[in-house]
Amino acid sequence: MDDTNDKKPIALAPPTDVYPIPNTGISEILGLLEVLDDRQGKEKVYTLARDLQMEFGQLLLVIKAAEVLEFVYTPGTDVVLKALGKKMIEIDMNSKKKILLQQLRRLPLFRVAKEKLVEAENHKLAKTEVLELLKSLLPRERPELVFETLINWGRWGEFLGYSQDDGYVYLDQG
Amino acid sequence: METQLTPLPLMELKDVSKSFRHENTDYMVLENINLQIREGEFIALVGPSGCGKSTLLRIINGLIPATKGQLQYKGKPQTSMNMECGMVFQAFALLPWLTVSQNIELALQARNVPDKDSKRIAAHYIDKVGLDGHEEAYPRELSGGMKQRVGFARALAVEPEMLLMDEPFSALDPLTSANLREEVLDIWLDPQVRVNTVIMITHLIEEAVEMADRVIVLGSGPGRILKEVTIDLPRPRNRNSEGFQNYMGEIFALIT
Amino acid sequence: MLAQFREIQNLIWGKRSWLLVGLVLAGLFIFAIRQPGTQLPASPDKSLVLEDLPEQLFYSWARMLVAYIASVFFALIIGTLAATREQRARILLPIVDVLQSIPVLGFFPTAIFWFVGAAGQRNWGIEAAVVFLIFTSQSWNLVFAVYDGIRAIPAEALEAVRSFGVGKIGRFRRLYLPAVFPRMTYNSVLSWANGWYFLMACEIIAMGPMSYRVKGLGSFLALAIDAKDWQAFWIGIGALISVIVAMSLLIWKPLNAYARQFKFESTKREGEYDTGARMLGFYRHSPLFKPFRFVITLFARLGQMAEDRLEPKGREGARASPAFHWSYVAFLVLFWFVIGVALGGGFLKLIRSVLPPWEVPPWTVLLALGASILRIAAAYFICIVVMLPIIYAAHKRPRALRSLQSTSEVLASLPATAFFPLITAAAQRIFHFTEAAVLIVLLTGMVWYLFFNVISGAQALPNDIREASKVMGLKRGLYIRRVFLPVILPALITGSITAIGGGWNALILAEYFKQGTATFQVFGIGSILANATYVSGNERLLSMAIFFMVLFIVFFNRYFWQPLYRWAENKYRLDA
Repeated sequence: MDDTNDKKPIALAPPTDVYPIPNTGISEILGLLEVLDDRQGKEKVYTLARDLQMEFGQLLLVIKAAEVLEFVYTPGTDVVLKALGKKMIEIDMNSKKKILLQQLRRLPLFRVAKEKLVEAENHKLAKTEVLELLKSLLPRERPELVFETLINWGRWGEFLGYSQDDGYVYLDQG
Repeated sequence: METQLTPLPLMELKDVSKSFRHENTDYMVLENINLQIREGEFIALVGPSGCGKSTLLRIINGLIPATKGQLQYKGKPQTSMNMECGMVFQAFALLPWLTVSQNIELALQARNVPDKDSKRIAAHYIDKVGLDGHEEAYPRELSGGMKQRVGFARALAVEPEMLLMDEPFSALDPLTSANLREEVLDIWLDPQVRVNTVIMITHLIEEAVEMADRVIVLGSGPGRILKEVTIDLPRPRNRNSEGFQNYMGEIFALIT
Repeated sequence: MLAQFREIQNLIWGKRSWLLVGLVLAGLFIFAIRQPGTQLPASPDKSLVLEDLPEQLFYSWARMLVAYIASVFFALIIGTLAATREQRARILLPIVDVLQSIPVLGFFPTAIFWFVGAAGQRNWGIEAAVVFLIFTSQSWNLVFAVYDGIRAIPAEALEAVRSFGVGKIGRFRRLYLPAVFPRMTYNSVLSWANGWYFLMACEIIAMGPMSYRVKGLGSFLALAIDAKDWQAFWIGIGALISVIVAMSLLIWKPLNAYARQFKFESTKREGEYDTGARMLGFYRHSPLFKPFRFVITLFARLGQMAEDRLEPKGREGARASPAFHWSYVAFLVLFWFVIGVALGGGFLKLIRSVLPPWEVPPWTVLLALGASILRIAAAYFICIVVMLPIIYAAHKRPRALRSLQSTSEVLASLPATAFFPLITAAAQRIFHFTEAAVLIVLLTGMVWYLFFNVISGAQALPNDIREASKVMGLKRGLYIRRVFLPVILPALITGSITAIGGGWNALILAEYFKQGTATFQVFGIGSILANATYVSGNERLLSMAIFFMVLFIVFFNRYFWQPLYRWAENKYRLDA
């Protein structure tokens, strides 16, 4: 595509602290918090997998995501609900989103995304540019999957927006 | 002489039967269903597969006509589609070429709500189910849990009297189900939301006991009501409590 | 050595434009030195004898069979070559695309030159020419079937087979062949339908006032029409329909049922009386089956032997034997040489046809093309206006839809061309207006494809969306706009593409027809083509008309229909 000559190059040396986010949804994470709360806030991972009849790998992904968002922590083979996690399931929908937004702001991936969007023209980036960015930040991950999760979580936190029709990712100021 | 203190049931089924004709044979799917649904109740329909619970749900809102028997809604006979019922489907039933907002607005447009209002109302319910930020997403961009949220918002947007749910969480993973179950209960208990009466089909007894006021247990061959179990436990319900486990055992025994 | 060969291949493909130019020049050179002018032998005296019908029917059927077998081999070769290398596809597929838009009349000169010319005045030349013509109406969609079939193979299957160390032949036998089998059987029905459609045209080869009729059903029907012997005509048609129905019951339906197991996607058939599966079961239990099975096993064994010989398995998997390797290389070189020659020759013809002197000047031809385009557009819109309400009314009743679908399937496979004389005679009598007759003929060639495709589109409407629409209380207007039309849109476009293709096919036979001694024609490209073939024998006019026609069709497909389809397929697909 020839119009890329007009845009600023996006790929730079990847900041070393950007780590990937597990490819799972927010509903699953909230569900995990609910389930833990039912069990007094603590449970062994394999017990959870067994009781929920979930695929172990999938469960681990959700636990990891919850950990990244600081709702749980995982000492040994347990998964434990943190105070923030417990709060998440007690409050109403809009407050949940505020906390999620707050947590997203702490993740390096989202910080970088926000930086790039702020710098960009009209504060929006084409999907292809975002994919390039993700490829350079996380070379070992499949950019499409990271994109999916980025947009998913971003929309939840009302942090990012994405319109498939015009192909642009933008900052959600609303 | 006793005065009737209990209010008129919202919906009543009297001796309702349903049979289907296939290649010159009649198959009785439901037989002599007698059921009362009171306003403000959360009812669960459980039973083995083939017991006709899906059919029963669809007879309640008029999607399928009963072969025999009577339906009464608010005291008057119901002969066609009941427009006071919202419905949530197991397979989500979203139109893939419409965005989240457009899918919800469609339900409002069908009721001739003017565009300006339908956008506003849709936005309100999008907010309620936590879809804020996803308005412009297409269904294929969404996970199962999010798609079902759209299903809920769409059903709620027309502010129906009753909410009917056909295995709403079956297509979702256990964690998402756990999450959405709580949110459905929250919405049902929310005084700002008009819907008071919910009828839910589920194949998970635990889910039924956790959510419902009354569990209707159906048996198959042909479908009929085996028993109505009233769940007399305070909310929020504790799965590990003795009462909970007793109810589960009772229902389980009836089905097997 | 293999590595060197790959390097050479990559080098050539890297400079592919040079390769192409070289080939075209080679072709031009060859054509510059060819000898012009081939005479058709004198046509044997033909009189209409009813007792001859079975014999004639058999001849036609045998020709169709030979052409079909040739088409299958052709499709397997070209389709596989195109599907296995992107660069090859980029050249081959557009060529096939163009070729499939050329009406059968356009191949007359080629047929005559290559086959009649080669055989001198002997009989087999004519027969070969007829078979070739039938081939040109059968083969193209098979090529695409093979190509699509191989491209549709899931990546994991390809990787798995590669990891077993299987070579080219092995891949072909074990993966490609089974993968394309379902599509091939489905498309074979279409190929045969196309073949029957043009049978009359193919069996009467003409170059100007000279024509030759081979012994066959096509000539039989044409003679009947000329002699106005309607009894003979209807009997002939009856025979044709019986053969088509018999083939469908005895061959195609069971074959399609058998082919279902090779599909990668699983499709559920809802409560349908599966004639095919029943026939298949019947076959399996009949004593006929044993020799049939023996033949199949024989082929399988031969294939295995060939594979073992040509691609012996070493430690790193199968490695092509030198003999096979170099034959393959030689084959590819010869293949591209032939393509180049054909391209060059075609190119030369085109240039010469557009240069003066002209029997008909280019602007007239273009005007005629315009007239034909308008006719097709009119017929298309009539089809849409008639079809959509019918399908909308029927789509909520699955049984009604299914019977509509099988009816259109049957009607689509009947060669409407055989009925054209009747239709045109009737239309002429009723309307006294040739244009009306032309329009009706066009309609009959187009409408079934639309029905067929849109019905499958409508059947795909998921049950839960249907229920949700009722629950929401969607009234007709909203329902049509938001549910019905979007659901059928991709199928409508596919159907339109096929229908319009059918329209172009029918055009040739519609714009110029004879009834006894009277000739009816309207101003259009079809009549120009027909005149150039049957009246003046002007090959250059034929080429020019074909050139403009094909140019328009290909461009319109590429820059309108295909992008439209891609957009619709993306926005309205049902996989959410």
